[in-house]
Amino acid sequence: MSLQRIMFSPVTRLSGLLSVDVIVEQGRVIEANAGGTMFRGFEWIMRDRQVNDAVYMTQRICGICSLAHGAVASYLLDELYNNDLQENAQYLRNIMYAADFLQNHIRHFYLFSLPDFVIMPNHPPFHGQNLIDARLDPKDNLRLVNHYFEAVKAAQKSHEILAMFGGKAPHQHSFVHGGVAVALTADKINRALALIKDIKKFVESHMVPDTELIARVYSDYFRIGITPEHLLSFGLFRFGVKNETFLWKSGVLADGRFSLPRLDLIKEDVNRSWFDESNKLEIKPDPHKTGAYTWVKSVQYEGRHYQVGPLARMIINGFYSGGVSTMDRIYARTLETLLITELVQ
Amino acid sequence: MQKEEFTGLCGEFAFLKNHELTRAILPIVESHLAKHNQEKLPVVWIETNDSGDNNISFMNTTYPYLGRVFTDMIDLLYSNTFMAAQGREALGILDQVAETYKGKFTLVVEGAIPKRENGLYNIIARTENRLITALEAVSWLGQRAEYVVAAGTCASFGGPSAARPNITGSVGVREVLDREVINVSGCPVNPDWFVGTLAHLLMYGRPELDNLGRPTLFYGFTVHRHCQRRSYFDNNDFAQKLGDIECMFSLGCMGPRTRADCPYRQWINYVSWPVKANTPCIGCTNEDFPDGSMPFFTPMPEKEKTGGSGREKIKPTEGCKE
Repeated sequence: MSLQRIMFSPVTRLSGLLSVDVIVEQGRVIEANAGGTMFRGFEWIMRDRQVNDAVYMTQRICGICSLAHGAVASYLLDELYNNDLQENAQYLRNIMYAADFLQNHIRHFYLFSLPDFVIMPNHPPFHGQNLIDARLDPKDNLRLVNHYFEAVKAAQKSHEILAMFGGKAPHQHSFVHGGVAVALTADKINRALALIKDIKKFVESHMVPDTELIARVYSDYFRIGITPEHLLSFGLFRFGVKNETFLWKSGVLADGRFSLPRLDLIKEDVNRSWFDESNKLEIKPDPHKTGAYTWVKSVQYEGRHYQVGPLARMIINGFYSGGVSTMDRIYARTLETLLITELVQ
Repeated sequence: MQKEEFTGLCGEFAFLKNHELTRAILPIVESHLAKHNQEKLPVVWIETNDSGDNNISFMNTTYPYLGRVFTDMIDLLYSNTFMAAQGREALGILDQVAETYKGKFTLVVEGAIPKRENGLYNIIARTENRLITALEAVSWLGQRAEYVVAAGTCASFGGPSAARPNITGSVGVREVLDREVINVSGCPVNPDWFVGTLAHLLMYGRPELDNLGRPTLFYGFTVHRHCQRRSYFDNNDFAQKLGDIECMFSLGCMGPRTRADCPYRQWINYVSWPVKANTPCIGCTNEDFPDGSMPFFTPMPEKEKTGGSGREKIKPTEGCKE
């Protein structure tokens, strides 16, 4: 019996730093440790500051999904101050939220995922591409390479919508507690509509067919990366005076049973993370901890791991009826992108 | 080469064989091409402790868009974000590039460098038997680069990654390298500031820098000086709440002591900037961002008193005249 260890590092094309340590026994993966290898300590950074600062400060957690962090901070502050939200403000908040999602999904699919399926041009930053399973015919391959560069523009346009209302992106300024700091005027609506039409056209004519092509050519990817069907979503796009209604509902789906998420069932597990648990009241970072391999905490719901993100949202809301494989995740992301362009419009 | 010179050469070599004419002319043509055909800037990009917002901001560049930056401006030889290669081969590219382009490449660092625990808080890659920390990689590459560019406020001065209590001991790149670092600060960096700095390196070499190592081209004046709402400030007409059209000084605006060209430049295809969105500038290009700007919505003179513990003393009047 021989154990083989494969250190896959760095995992490139993502936001942040990742290494995957894989142990293989007789051709079978028996252990795979995905390690997030950067730590800043936001849990500590956020302490002892003016609570309103959270809207801007939490966005600095992540550059590709910055608005989502600020949005959650805004919702919490709304609750804290018992704010009443105007309907227009909610619409605008959701347009900004949607624009950041579009930017994120388009970049995720084309800039981060695509080079795992497509032979990129042999010049920097694509030189030395070690793609071992290229299957597209040259004509399709070339078309998708061209779409990579069109995706750059579609994603930029998504951020342009966000910046029109948010002042800048990433780390927008105007989606704050109490509402939005920018008025939804005719000129801005008109400009945003023109931009979203371009983005929608790109998604319909490029991203959807490109996803379908890859799903067809790599159809066996519907049989890899299958997780237990434990899906969790906290809902998306809030409306109502008190942020109480969701356009896309929240839910927990486990082994075919549906329930509503309960916050008290969420637990953080740091058993294999670089944190010292000896003080029960407060964990402490410990980069020397033996047996640990990541800075990421393992979040559990009712003692089990759940999948979140586009696939969970799409299945829970009844928009997607596929499985829970690698290709399903890619497919659901594109589906969500398409649905969001339709909603914004 | 002038026409007369060329015909003269042709006459001289008219009766010689063995490509003597070509041999005489080729070096002249080559030197002409080398001089007039702009080469691309070789770039090695290392991501360390930041949110990845600076590479996202870089993707938002317009004219040139990202594709054109790659084909016409820079050879991005290593980048965790963009490169197609992955795993051990990607790391192999980094080793090879550091050797082949020694003294010729521009090192871009995105993020602060954690120094505590020997840099263990940021590992840019691992092999079966060792860890490569950001501290080690940046120290090593920094010595070999022609220029070092810090993209964003974390890389320039520590930024949010070094906000108190800074348990990772994060610092700006300049504090781990014994050489000049060009700081292109901002949270995130505006794509124009970053792409513009690379363009300057490509076309004219080292740009003129201010006392914090930032290109004066972008950081020469305070936000306050060119703010569209300056007249409101001068008339003591201050905003009461976010969303108002008056001067944002009353809501914590850091414009008076923040150097950046946001009012002119604006963001994302030049559509807006924070004050235009009826919110305060939070001083994201500053050496003491974010601690020195917090609480964000408290007026500058009171920030320090109410808990904003900047790494440098806040002088409310500094920069107001500019």
